[in-house]
Parts: sequence; C-alpha cells; structure tokens
Amino acid sequence: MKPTSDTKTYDAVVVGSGATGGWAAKVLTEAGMDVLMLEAGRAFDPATDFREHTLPHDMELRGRPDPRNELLQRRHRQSYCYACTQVNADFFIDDVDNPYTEAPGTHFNWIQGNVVGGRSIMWARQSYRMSDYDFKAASLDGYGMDWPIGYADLAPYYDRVERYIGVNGRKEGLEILPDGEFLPPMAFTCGEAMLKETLAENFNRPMTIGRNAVLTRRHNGRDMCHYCGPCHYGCRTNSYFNSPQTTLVDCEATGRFTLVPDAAVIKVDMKAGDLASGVTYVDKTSHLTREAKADVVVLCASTLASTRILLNSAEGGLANESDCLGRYVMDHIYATGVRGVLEARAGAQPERANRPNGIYIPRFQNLKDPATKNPNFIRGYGYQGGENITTWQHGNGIPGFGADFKRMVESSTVSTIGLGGFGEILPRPENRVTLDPEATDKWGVPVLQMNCTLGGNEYAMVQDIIAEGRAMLEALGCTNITQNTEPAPLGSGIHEVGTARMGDDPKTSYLNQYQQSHTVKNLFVMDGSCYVSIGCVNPTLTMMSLALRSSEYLVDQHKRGELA
Amino acid sequence: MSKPTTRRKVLAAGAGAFGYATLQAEPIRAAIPAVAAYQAEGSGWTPRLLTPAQGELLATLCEHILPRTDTPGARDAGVHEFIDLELSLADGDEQLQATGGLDWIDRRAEELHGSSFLPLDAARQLDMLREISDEHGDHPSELLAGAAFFSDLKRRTLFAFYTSKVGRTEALGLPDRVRVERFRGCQHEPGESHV
Repeated sequence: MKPTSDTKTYDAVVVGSGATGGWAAKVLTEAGMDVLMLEAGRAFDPATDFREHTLPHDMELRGRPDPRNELLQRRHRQSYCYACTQVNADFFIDDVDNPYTEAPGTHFNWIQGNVVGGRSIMWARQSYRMSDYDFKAASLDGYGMDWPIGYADLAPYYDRVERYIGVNGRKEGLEILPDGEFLPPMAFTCGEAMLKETLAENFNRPMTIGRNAVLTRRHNGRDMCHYCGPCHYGCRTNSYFNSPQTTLVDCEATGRFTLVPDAAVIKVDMKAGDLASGVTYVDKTSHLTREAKADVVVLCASTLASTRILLNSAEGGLANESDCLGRYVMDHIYATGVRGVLEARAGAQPERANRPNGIYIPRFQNLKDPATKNPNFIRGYGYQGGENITTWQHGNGIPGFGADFKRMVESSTVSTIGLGGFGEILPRPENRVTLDPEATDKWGVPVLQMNCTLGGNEYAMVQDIIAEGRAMLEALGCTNITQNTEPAPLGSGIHEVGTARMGDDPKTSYLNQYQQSHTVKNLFVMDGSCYVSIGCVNPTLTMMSLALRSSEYLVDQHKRGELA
Repeated sequence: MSKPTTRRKVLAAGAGAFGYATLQAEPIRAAIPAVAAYQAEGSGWTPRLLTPAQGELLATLCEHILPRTDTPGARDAGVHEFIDLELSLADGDEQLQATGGLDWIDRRAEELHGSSFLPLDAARQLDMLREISDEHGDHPSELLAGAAFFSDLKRRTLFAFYTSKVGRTEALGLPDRVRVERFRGCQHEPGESHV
C-alpha cells in the first residue's frame, strides 16, 4: 500500500520522546523551529498512569506476577527488568508484537519503553558525569578509539542539564567522577556510613551517596521527593526527571510542537543531494503507513531502535560507508556482586521513608596512579548498592512457628549490605546487531538480530568485582556473604550504546562530534548510538548533555542554511 | 496528520497539578485491572483450588504458624484465602505438592491418633507440627515430605500475612496508605558509634 503523505513539511522531525528526544525537541522548538515528534509508544497520562502509591495489599497477588495478566504475559522479555512488574507492565513494550532475535549461542535483553516519555518514565535516575578517563580512554591504555570530544567540551552542557532536571549529590573532588551542579545530597543510612568509614580506613577508597535525578528540594516549579519509593511507577509530585513532565511541557509551551504517539518509524526517507526528506512510519492504531516530511531528521528512538531504523532505510544501512552501523554494541557488566549480613546493625529500625537512591563507590583501579593498575583487565567498574533492612522477610530463617516465633519475627530486623558492580564493556566490532533476514514485527518490518557476548576483559573484571566486594564486606564485619558471579547477558544493564559511534574520521565513525551523519548532513542520531566507549557510569545524563550540545549546533546550522 | 496532539491536556496537568495535598487522601488505583477485580469481590470465601475441608485445614495450619496474639493472626488476615488463590494459579506440580502436603498431615494424624488432623485437640495438633518444624535439624525419612510441606507453608504464610493490610498495619504498625515522608538517614557525628 502506498503510504499516506502528510502535506506539511516540518522544520524537523524528532523520532522518540524519551530523555534525549525531549531535549532535542525543547532546544529546536524554543529556537523557533516547527517540530514533529513521533513516538512509537502509546499516549501517557500521569493522572491515571502513575501508580507509585500502589501497596502490596492493593493487589490481589500482592504484586507477584499474575498469570492471568495478559499485559505481563506478553512482556516475557521485559519482565527481566526489575522495574517491569504487575503494576506497570504497560509502560514496557509488547514482546509478542515487537520481537527480536539472537544469534545462536548468544543472549540479549532489550528492555524498551512503550509510552510517551519512553524509558525516562522507568529509569533508575542515577546521574554521573563521565571524565576524560572515559572520553580519552584509548589514549590512556591503547584500546579502541578516543571520543572526538573531551570532558571540557561537555562540562558546560552537563551543568545546564543538571540545573534543569535537578540532580542531588555530594561534591567529592574526584577526577574519575567529576562533580556537578547538585541539589542537596540524600543521606546515608548508618550501615552505609559504617561502610564509608571502613573503605576510608582500610582501603583509602572513596564512597559517596548516589547522584540521582530526584528533587531533594523544590526545584524549577516541581515539588520535592516524598520518599514513597518506587519511582519507576511514576511520580505524582513530579519529583524525578522524566520528559513528559519537563522537556515536553516546554516544547508544548512554544506552540510549535506536534506530538504523535503510536507512530513507529520504519525508515528515513531520502531525496536528491544525499539529504533526508523525512521518515516513513506506521500508525500502530490504524495500521496505515504514513510519511512525514521534514527539513531535518533527528533520531532519538534509543540506541538499538534508531539503529534498526537506519538499517531498514537502505541496503547495508543508510549512510553506512564506515561499516560502523550496528557494531560496537556496549552496555555495562550487570548483576554481579556481593551481599552480606551486617550483624552490628541487627534490630535497627528502618525508616518509613523509602530513599529512592543508594550508595556509589567510584572506579578505583587503572587510574593515573600506577599503584592502582590492575594487571588482569583494562578500564574499570564502580559499585552501586546500599543497606537494606528487612522487617519480616528474614522470618524464614528463624526456626519454629507460633506465638513466640511471631513475636521474634516482629521484634527483630536484619540489615544486609549489597554491592553490585557496574563494569565497562569494551567496544568490539564483532558485538553487533543486524537485520534478521526473516523475522518481522507485527507490522511486517524486519527486526534486529543481536549477536553480542562478553569478552575476556569483562570476565576478568567480574572476578575482581567479586573479590574486592567480598574484601570490603569482610572488612566491614559482614557475615553470610553471598555472591553472584554470573554476569547478565548484554542489554541487561539497559545502558546499550555505541552502534553509530562518533568520530572525526568518516572512515571509522558514523557520526561526527555533533551526532550528525558524516554523509547525510540533515540526519542526526542524538541518543546513545554515538558512544565511542561507555565508561562505567550510567549513561543518561551524558546522553542528554550530548543531545543538548548537538541540538544547539543543529539550530545554528539550520539558521545558516547548512542543512538543506 | 493522523492525530492532532492529544497530549496538551496531559502535559499541562503534568506541569504541577499534583501537589502534596492529593497524597493523603489518595484512593486505591482502580486503574489497575488486578486491583479493580480484587475490590469487586465479596468477603464470603469459597476456595478456588482446595475442597472446603482442605481450606479449613490450611487455615488452621496457617493460624498455628502465625496465631492471633496481641496482634491479629493468619486467619484474621485471610492468609489461607491468599494461599488458595495463589495455588489456583500455579502449575499442576505445585498444586499437587500443596494438596499432597495437606493429605500427608491427615494421614500422619491417622497414623498417630486414628483421626484426621482437625478433630485433634490443639496440644496434639501442635505436637504434630513440632515434629516437622524447622526447629529440628534432621528429620527422619518418614517425616521428610511433611517437613518440606511445612517449610513451604511457613514461607507462604509469612508472605501472605505481612503483605496483607492487617499484617502491614496492625502487626508491623505501618500506615495503610502512602504518606509524605522525609528520609533522615544517619544522624551520628563522625567517630560516634552507629550500633
């Protein structure tokens, strides 16, 4: 069927309404450009869709997966993610309608949003800056390629994004983890304060409170956090950053913004002169295919979704002379770590307030000090975790039953300290995604085949994550230490990046430093696709800062007529 | 365009219409299908998987695990109803293990006392449960199946009780709805003991 063509030509079409799409559209609309935003997910209404105050007893199965819940059953891959539950399964994509395949012997977890706002609705909000240990990693250890920009290039944009979204944290003065423009930090629990003291005394190792995009005071017209806990179910007080309650509101205020949900972009359309003319998308409600015309195309669909669009746009991938498109898939080593019981805190009373944050131990190896060199791997990892106090869950470990047993359960608590490693995965060209030659989604569009594995450097790092984690918990006095030595498949960290990396040389990179295609100058990819190396910190803050920088470049180029 | 922006109202609402004032009186989210279904049910209980006799046996066992004391017990919290519901949705093996375990209790009562479990007096019931409880380390082989069942039942009872409204509010002393809180964290001075 011939696509329906919309008559209007927009100044720009932004594909995706999540963290980066929101920033791109905000900058463009505020600069006077007329923007169409296409979002593959459904419309989203905080008034009815936010469910963060659902308590276990509100639910028939108390939050356990309900086999009668078709929404959840159709998200068999998404429910790997801790944030996808009985309460909010419909925030996530339908795995039956939106399949992907895996090369034999490999596994990949691709967790995707299905709503306006994308994964900014359910993200874990941890917000750290990368440093030149990351941007210039190749120069330091010889592996891979440097970013075409350094920390100094991005620092002013980090400042502006942090000031806008609101990031709480404590300044530490560490080169590996640059400080930002912070709201007041959240507090440690006592068990965490003990861990910090132990690390300082026994390991000369810093630890800080997590830096996250949650408001610890009223900020930019948004209320402060009320500490209910499950931010991934939404926030009625608008106290964590997500695009529908911030950037998209600003877009709307310009009067130059059109948002279309349920619009899954299939491909970028081209016109003469190596220029993009717009995109073709399927309206998921009517199943009709449509064309949207725009002077500039900005893909912010998330790394792998944008890559899929580009692979579907031309044989061998659109503008893929470098053969970089789909390669160098990265994520973070995820799910490995240690946990131990802190007997010294037995009986401690947990606060009713649920702090939506944890602790952070920055990377402490392979730094400039030669004493920090680890002979077994390059790059490094940080730990995220914290203290957890159970009020009844430890009851299974208390022998017996009856009245005395019940009193024992209710009068005791158990404190555990958990440390999970987030390690850098190296960019390897053989870790790639391609179009599956046969499989298609519900709308007949070819889907991705993932072919990604962890390598020797990653497995060596996992061993170290366990060994150092154990040593720290033992020094703290923890007992009953358990460990998980099996890293999750790539994608599980939900930090997938790198499939259209940026660089100065068109032969070895897909995008330039402004996330602009080297060959199609009115095509930008402003999500995580541009990553050259991933570092070990959570990527969303960096992605938003890059999108802000690139969007301002786009506006300037557009005004000069350089993109036509 | 297929749809003009239908988001205007939503985005405007998101800009700050939800203040603290709405938190205190917030109703249960009927938007969640599982919640709506739950609320529509009456209070009279008919087991879904178990027979009425098995249901009463289950309720009695759960009450022995978490009895009414100065706070409500398992029966008050409807623990047996929850476990029956959960089992009704479980796979056949899991159902068989649970119903087999209930049968085991009655068979053991017959062996020891010539009667099924429920007619026994409380002292005899408790003695029977003590021999399969985890307060003993090694169980003789003839009690292993019963001990495994009772261990599983204890785990189910703890979850069902403390995630119930009664368990949350009356046993753990927590509010039945989300309240505005402030996280204080560690208030100790440097060098002061945290213990």
